[in-house]
Amino acid sequence: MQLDEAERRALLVTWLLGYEDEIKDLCAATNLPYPQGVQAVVEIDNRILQIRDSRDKPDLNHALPLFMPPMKTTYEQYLAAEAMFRMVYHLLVAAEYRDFVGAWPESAKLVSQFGQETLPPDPFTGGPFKYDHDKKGPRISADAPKWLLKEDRFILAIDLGKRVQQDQDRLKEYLRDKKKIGKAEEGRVAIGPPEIVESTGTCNRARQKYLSRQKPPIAYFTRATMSAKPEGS
Amino acid sequence: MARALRDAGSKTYCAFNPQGSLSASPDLRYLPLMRSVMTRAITYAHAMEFVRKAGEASAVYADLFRMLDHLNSDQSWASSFYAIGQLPILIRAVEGFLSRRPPREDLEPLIAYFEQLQYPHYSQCTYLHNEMRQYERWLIKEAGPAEKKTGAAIRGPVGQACR
Repeated sequence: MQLDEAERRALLVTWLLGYEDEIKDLCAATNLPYPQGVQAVVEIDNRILQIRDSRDKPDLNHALPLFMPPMKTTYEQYLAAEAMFRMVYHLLVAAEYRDFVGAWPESAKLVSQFGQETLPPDPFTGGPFKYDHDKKGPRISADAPKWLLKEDRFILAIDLGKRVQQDQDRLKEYLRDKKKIGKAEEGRVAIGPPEIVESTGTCNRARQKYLSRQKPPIAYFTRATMSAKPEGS
Repeated sequence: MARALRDAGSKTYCAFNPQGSLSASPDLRYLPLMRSVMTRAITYAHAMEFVRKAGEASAVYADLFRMLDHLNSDQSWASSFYAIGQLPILIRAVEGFLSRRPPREDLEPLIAYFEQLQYPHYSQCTYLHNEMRQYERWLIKEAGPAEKKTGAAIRGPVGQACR
């Protein structure tokens, strides 16, 4: 079977209309609360995968698998991004509360009450985020699927107390290393490349890999050089 | 850097034009540059905190959130996905900022930004619709090549019939 140009055009238009219908269904699914939404998205995914596996049936819309890759993962990734965004908002309100009252809020409810408008809920549950705190700071997290919690690309728990501790440890480590280098180089100060603290995405990972292969370009200045006055001063 | 940020901050809109070229996918050549701008701006915000100007650091973070929104100016599935990819870098920076307990008047620029948003901030429905429109526009305007490309991508007897 070979289609002429008019038949091919007509088929494409039919496929496009079918694609529009599927997008409408998918839209409706993404607007549902997560537990129902994910089920609806999985149903659409299964429907499209079935079409992909039935290549010999001409009556199916074969453009769909091309235009619409399986959406469940992407759908959950968008919700994760939404959760990250909302958690920052909650923490900002909690920080405002701490400055006003003198202590971190005891519960997520207190954070919401302190916010002048209703704060957006956890997109995965539709309810409040998980929240607790200790002396160093609050911890907020989203009730996301397990696979997302393992992904570095998404921050689904923000722990300010832990961050304080991490920053202190990093500073101690830096000072310890500086002392070691100082001893090894007999009073020389090492100035290395800036540390890449956070990164996401393929490009940055590739860059990190590249940099890790390179010897760090360390420039040395003796203490004598550093304390010497510039010429002409 | 400070001057560049101040100049850019006075602009209300940042046009990336990801739909500039007629193609099935958006033009995202500006992304590496944006990533670099973001890293530098975060460094600048750290410096501002160091000299006890946390309010200015907060304003820089708020501007970076706005920049990510502009990155997604065409509200499409692809460009929003790239904007989301940048989000963790910024959130880690804001996490550090909040862990250093800035006074509430210094939080105002960030809180003002989050208050004026509509939630959900990332509307998948809108992105899917816009993505669909882009595909359709491409298939209609570039009818011949688009049909060939679509036919070539479909495997099996149906695809063969379309070629």
